[in-house]
Order: sequence, then structure tokens, then C-alpha cells
Amino acid sequence: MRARSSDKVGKRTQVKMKVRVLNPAAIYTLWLRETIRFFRLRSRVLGSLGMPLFFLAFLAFLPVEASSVHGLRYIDFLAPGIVGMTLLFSSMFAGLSVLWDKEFGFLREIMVAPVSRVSIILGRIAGGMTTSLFQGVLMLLAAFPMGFRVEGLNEAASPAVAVLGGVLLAVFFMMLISVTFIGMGVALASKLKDMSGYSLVMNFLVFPIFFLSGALFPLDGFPHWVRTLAYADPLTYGVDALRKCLVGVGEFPLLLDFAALVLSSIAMVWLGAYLFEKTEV
Amino acid sequence: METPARISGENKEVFRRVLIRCFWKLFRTTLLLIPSLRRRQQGRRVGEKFLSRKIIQDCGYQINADVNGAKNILRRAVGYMLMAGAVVTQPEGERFVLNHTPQPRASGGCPPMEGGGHWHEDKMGFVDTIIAERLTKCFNGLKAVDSVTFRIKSGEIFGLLGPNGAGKTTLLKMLATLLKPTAGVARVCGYDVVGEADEVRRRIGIVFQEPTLDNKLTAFENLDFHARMYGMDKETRRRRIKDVLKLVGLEGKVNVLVENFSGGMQRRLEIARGLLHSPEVLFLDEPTLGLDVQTRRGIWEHIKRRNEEEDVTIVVTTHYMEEAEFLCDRIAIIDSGKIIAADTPEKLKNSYGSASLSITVASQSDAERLAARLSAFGFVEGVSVRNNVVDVRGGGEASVPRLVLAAFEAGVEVKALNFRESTLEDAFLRLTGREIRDEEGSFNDFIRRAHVLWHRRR
Ligand SMILES: Nc1ncnc2c1ncn2[C@@H]1O[C@H](COP(=O)(O)OP(=O)(O)OP(=O)(O)O)[C@@H](O)[C@H]1O
Ligand SMILES: [Mg+2]
Repeated sequence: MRARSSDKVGKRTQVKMKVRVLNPAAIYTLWLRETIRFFRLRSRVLGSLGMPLFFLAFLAFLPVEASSVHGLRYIDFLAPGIVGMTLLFSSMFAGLSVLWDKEFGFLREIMVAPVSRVSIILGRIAGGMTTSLFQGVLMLLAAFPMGFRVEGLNEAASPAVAVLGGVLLAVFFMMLISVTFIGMGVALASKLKDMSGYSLVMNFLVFPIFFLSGALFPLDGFPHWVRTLAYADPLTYGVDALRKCLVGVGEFPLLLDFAALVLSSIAMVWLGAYLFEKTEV
Repeated sequence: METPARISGENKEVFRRVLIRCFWKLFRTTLLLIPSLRRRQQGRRVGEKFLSRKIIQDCGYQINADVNGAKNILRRAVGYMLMAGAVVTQPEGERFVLNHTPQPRASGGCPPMEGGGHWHEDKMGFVDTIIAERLTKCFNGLKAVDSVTFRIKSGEIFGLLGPNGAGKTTLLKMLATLLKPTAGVARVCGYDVVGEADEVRRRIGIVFQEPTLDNKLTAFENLDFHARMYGMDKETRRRRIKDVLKLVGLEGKVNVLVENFSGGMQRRLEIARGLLHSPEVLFLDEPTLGLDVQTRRGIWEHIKRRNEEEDVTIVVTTHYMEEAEFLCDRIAIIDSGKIIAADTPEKLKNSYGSASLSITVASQSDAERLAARLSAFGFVEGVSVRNNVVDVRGGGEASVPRLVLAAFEAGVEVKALNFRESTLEDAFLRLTGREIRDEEGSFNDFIRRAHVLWHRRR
């Protein structure tokens, strides 16, 4: 009896690995799937880039009088905001794609795998971050033909350092923004039963977050309560940080932006992981 | 809201110790998040198993507790006791009453427990691979699975047969850790499906009833995803993927997107994926639904072989009687969330099915005359007349000559005879009481099925 059962163990060496809280192989696998899907669905990429692109194109041609904000040319003010918008939409979409998986059943395949829920969330974040970063950078590049210029950080020693440092820092902030909203998307997707809640989220959450963030126009002249709401919006800090990094002008100190975004991303990932853990499929 | 756990018994000291173990384990689970502590914990696992086993064996006890009360702790405690062979003796409302009399520990082997439980020198140190005790799942008041209790032995092929909406899928999903039971305890491979879900997941494989493939990936990518998630290395991945694709006859479609597959091909791919890694327990939810005959045969044989060669325990739900009969060592018939019978196919057929004989005679009046005469036999369970045919149920093959002789004696000319063995289908129909369920639930099931098929076709 003993001999036989040890025999059995020998045959099953394949599933030898322990379930670890952090499982890099599984995170990579989930990332791989996300990116394969993303680049396979080119029409989706194009579709999701359409809206910010049109915002950028039309608003860039606003009449000159209205187009000077904080002493910036409007296009310089707008472009970081549009990048923020792209990140908001694409990250939210990546988080909410849990709903698609639910609908098409693939979530079951993921959930029954011997991978900790934390790793599953991290895999989704890694995948979503890659795809939304890709879209954000694409949008940034699209702004150049419209007259956008990167000034870089204004405290830097030389212009070259300013631009390079600014761009690198901007990419870092883009990551934080996308982590925040992927977390939010996962949290919502875990709560929603199926796709019917999707437009609800889009219209009552994503658009308000977008308009309140001051991506398109400064919120200086708005009533007090609107500005209070804006301060509770993580994207406000994200867009502000992007402006600071790319064109050197911003409302808050960079450190405050950083703190707010780190806080919001930790909170959202935690919330997402907590709610995701409890989903039944 | 929840009732606190109430423990009563002859030996309070032992309960205290079992519960302390469970508390300690829960406490440690929270510490698990810190990696350096995890390593130390592994060494302790062995000792803990030993200890809990020892506690259970040492003493006589009765546990009387509401399992929903202090959920985690009691589920754990009850689970240990179940694994040690404790049996439920009195159903007392929603409460568990476990009874267990101590057995002296023989040196070497393990003594049998009363009530059919055994010690078992599995690698976990315990017997039955799957233990379910009063397992219940409610969906907004509807009891999809209603207080189900069963045990599945290591290496067994266990079938679940039941009409649509009986709760088969819900039961499998609970065992596969995807649904949390509303009440009751289930342990798979010695681990609790709620508290130790990760450990259970490592040891199981499942083929779902509904499609669970990623349509935007190719066949290869779908399999590769699975293999990577189960931690296979590159060489094994390549080899196994090739093997399973060959098994289901999809070698030529490796790089085709799944959305371009036909429904049956998707099903085959899904089965291939379920067989890709080597689990200890394999759950198959209507695996061969919608497959052609050749493929179905091939898959049955593969399942049998895996069971024999690798000793995989298999739980399979099906609507095909033939499949159940071919595969299963034991079959449970489940209806409205309850297991109404569980036995080997042979025994089920013999106890609930019945053989039947159709006697064709010259005219209806002859048939009625014969029917009246035959119903007098003791072994005959029922007689009915259709035109000039008499159907006799009951009795085996051996009773045919006597029936024919009786016809001869009655002066009725027998034109034709048709004998039918007792089948599983008879037993199934007898037990579930109807051929096709027609209740309010059926419309929902119909919609669900249509939905599934629609997705699969796309
Ligand atoms: N997620 C859910 N929410 C609400 N009710 C559910 C859910 N899943 C299943 N049910 C209900 O639970 C009951 C059992 O369903 P289940 O899917 O387990 O049946 P089944 O035995 O697998 O049937 P089939 O043979 O059709 O696959 C059904 O009445 C069904 O409507
Ligand atoms: Mg089912």
C-alpha cells in the first residue's frame, strides 16, 4: 500500500509547484494572453484610440483667444490631459474585461487554476498596464503633429536632462494612473453580474472622472463643490503630474501628485483584489 | 445573526484541543502572507496532521455544533473528524451530530472505523478522496444542492446522473472550489474546499459544461495558457499538448482561432485541456455532450485508461446512460438537489430497473385474456396491453419460458416474443419519476442551454 502511493506521487511530479502568493510564471502567462489578445484585435485598438484622437484634433484648433491657459498654449495644456484620458479609458476597459471573461466563461478556467488570487490580479494589472501604456504613448506621439512640444521638468539642469527626465517620469506616472483604474475596473467587474452594467459604469463613473480631472480645461472658475469633487478624483493628480513632467506647469507639487496616486492605486488594487476574491463563477 | 458554535461531548478536553489546532491554523493562515514564515510552516504540517489524527483517535466524542456558526473553525474541526471516519448519526435539523467510538490503534495498519469509514494509508494519511457532508447550496432561496452526503474513494470513477436542473453542475462547482457552499463540509484530497481552496485547486482538473475557451486565442494558445498556469516546463508542455491534440483529433487545427471552430471541435478542445495536466481528481461535467460517436468512444477509453494507469479519481456527470454504464464504478442519481440512490450500475439496475417481455398474440381479446392470467404470477410487477401486445414487467430472463408456457396453457397463440433486459434508463426513470422534467425550472434551463449553444456556435 505504501509503495503504491509513493509510486503515485512520483507520477504526478508535474503539478509539484506550491501555490505561492506571488507566482511570476502565472503573472507572465496572464500578461501574455492579454497582450496577444490586444494585438490581435486591432480594430478594438483603433476604436478605443478614436475618441481621444478626435478630442485632441478638434480642441487643438480652438480659437486663439480661448487657448491660453496657465500661460500655456492650449495644445500643451491639452495633450497631457488627453493622454490621461486615454489611460483612464483603456485601463478601465482592461479592468472591466473581467466581465468579458465572465460572459464567455474563460474566467472559470482562470479561477480554477492553482494560482493565488493576488497573482491573478497582478497578471491582469501587468497586461492592462502594458496595453494602456502602449495606447497612452501612441496618443502622446499623435500630439506632436498638432504642435505639441515637450518642455520637460522646469527645475532640471540642462534641457536634455529636463526632457528625458520628464518623459521617463511621465511614463512612471502613466503606470500609476493605469494601475489605479485597472484596480477600479476589476473591483466593479467583480461586483457586476454581466455586461449590462458596463454602460452604467461608463456613463456614471468614467465620464465624470474624466471631466472632473481638468484634462480638457482648468477647473479654476468652477463652483466650490465641483472643485472639491475634483480633488477626490485620482485622475486630477494624474493629469497634473503628466503636465508637470511634460510641459513643466502644474497645480500641485509633484510629490503630492505622487502620494495621491500611490495611495489611490494601493487602495484600488486592494479593493479589486478583495472583491475579486469573493466572486463566484 | 449566526448561532455560536455549541460543543458538547464526553471529553471536553479533546474538543478544546481540536479547536485550538484550528484556531492556530487560522491564525497562521493570516501570517502566510509573510513569505519567510511560510517556509517554517511547511515542516509543521506533518506534525499537525498527526496531531489532529491522534486527537481524533484517542477519544470518544460527540460533536454537536452548528457548522454555519463559527464557520471556518468548525468546518475545519468537523472536516478532520470526517476524515478520521466519524459518521453522522442523527440528523437534528440543521445541526451536525457526529458520533464516533474510539478504536485501539493496531500497530502497522489502521483499524476500520465503525460506520464504514476506514483509515487509509493515502499519501495524505486519510481515506476517501472526496468527502461531502450535508453539502448545501442555495441560490436566493432555491436549494440547488440540498444537504448532500457522500464519499468517493481514491481511484474510483463516480457518476452523477440526474435530470436538468438537478444540481449536478452546482455540486461539481462546489467541489472544484468555484462556489462556496451555503452549508456543510466538503474535503477533496484531504483539504477543505473553502479554507484550503488553493491546495484543492492544485490537485484537481475540471472540464466545464459551458464553454470556457478564449475565442480570440488559437487552439495551441489556449492549451499553452493552461499548461503554463499549471506550472509545466517547456518540454512537458510541448509533449503533452501534442498528445492531447492527437487524442481529440485536432492536430491539424493547432493554429486556428477557437472562434472558427465548430461547436463539437470546441468541446473536444475543452476536453483536451482538461486532460492536459495530471490531476489527482478529474471532474467532467457532461464531457461528451454534442460529440460524434467515434470521438466519444475515444474519449471514454482515454478516461478509463487514465483512471487505471494513473489512478486518477474521476467524477463525471452525464445524460448518456451508456456512458455512465461504460465508465462508472459507482453512480449516484440526483434529483432536485438530493442524492436519491448511489450504487454500482449493476445494483442500481437490479434494484430499481426491471426486465420486460413483450408477447405479441393474434388479437386484442387474446391479449386481454393472457394479461389477466399472467398478472397472477408472483414475480410479475406489472402487465399492460397495447392492441395485440402484452407487456410484462418483472422477472428475469429465466421467467420467459414460464410466461410462454402460461400462454400455451391459456390456449393463446404466441406470434412473437421480445425480451428486454433491465436497463439503467429504467432505473433512472423509476427513481426520478419522469422522462423529461416539466417544472417551472425547465424554462430557465432551456434558456440557459440555448445561451450556451449560441455561444458555442459563435
Ligand atoms: N448562478 C445561479 N444562480 C441562480 N440559480 C442557479 C445558478 N446556477 C444554477 N442555478 C439553479 O440551480 C439549479 C441546479 O442547477 P445545475 O446547473 O446545478 O443543474 P444541472 O444538474 O447541472 O442541470 P443540467 O443537466 O441542465 O446541466 C437549477 O434550478 C438552476 O436554475
Ligand atoms: Mg449541468
